[in-house]
Amino acid sequence: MTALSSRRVDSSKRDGERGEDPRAEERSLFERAIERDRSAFAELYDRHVVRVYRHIYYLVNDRGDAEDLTAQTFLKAWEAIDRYRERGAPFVSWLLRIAHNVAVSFLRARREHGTLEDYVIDPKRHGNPEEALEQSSDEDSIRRAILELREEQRQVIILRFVEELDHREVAAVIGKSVPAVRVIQHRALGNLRKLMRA
Amino acid sequence: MRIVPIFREGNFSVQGKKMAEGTPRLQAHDGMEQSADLKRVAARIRPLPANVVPSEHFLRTMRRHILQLNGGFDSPRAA
Repeated sequence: MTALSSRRVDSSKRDGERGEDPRAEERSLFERAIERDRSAFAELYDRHVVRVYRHIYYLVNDRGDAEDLTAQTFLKAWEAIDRYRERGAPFVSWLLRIAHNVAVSFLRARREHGTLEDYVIDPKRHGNPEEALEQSSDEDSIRRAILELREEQRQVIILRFVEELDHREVAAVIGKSVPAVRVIQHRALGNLRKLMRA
Repeated sequence: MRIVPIFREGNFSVQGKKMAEGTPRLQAHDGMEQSADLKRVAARIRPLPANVVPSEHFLRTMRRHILQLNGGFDSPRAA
C-alpha cells in the first residue's frame, strides 16, 4: 500500500486518537459540501476514496475501470449531495450505494456489448497463472452472486470478507449495531448459498 | 430443519433445565451442519489484497479536479 493511500485508510483512526467525534466532524463536512464547499468535499473524498475504489474493484475486477468508476461515483455524489440527508446511515454507506449502482450499470453495459473483459484475469492480483485460472471461475461466480444480494447484505459481505473488517468496524461503516450486522451476515451467507446452488 | 422427539433418561434443554421425556427439540446436528455450510460459503469469498488501492496519480489528479469542481469533471484517467 502506498504512503498516500495508507494515510487515507488511517484517517479515521487518527480522528479517534485526537478525541474528536468522527460522526460530528463528518456531518459538518457534508453540511459544508451541500453548500458547495469544494474543500469539504475533497476532505470527504480523502476519507473514503480507498474504500469506494476497493468496493468497485471487487465488482469489476479491473484497476483502470475501477478508477474511472470511482471518479464517476464522486461526481454523482457531488451532483446529488444536496439531496443527501443523514437518516442514521453514515456518509460512506451512501457513497457505497452510489458506487454499486455505477458498477452495476457498467457491468450491464459491458455484458450487452458482449465483450470478454469479464474473464480477463488481473495479473497484478494473481501471481501464479495456473492458480489464477483455477480461482477465477469460482471467484467470478461468487462475485456475481454477491452482486445479486440486497444492498445491505452485499455491503456487509464485502466489508466483512473482502475487506476483512471485524463486526464492530462493519457496524460503524453501515450505521448498525454489532448484533444487527451478525444477523445481516448470517442471512446474506444463506442467500449466497442459495444463489450459488441455483 | 427437522424437529425430532428425543427419548432418553435425564433429558436436558440447552439451558440445562430438565425436560419432559419426548419433548421435541431441534436436532443439534442440523444447526451445526447449516453453520458449517455457511462457513464454507464464507471461506470461498477471497479477501482483496491490501495493495489493491488507486494509483497515486489518480488520487492526486482527482483531488485536484474536485477542488476545481463546478458542474462535472472528466475521469483523471482521461485527463
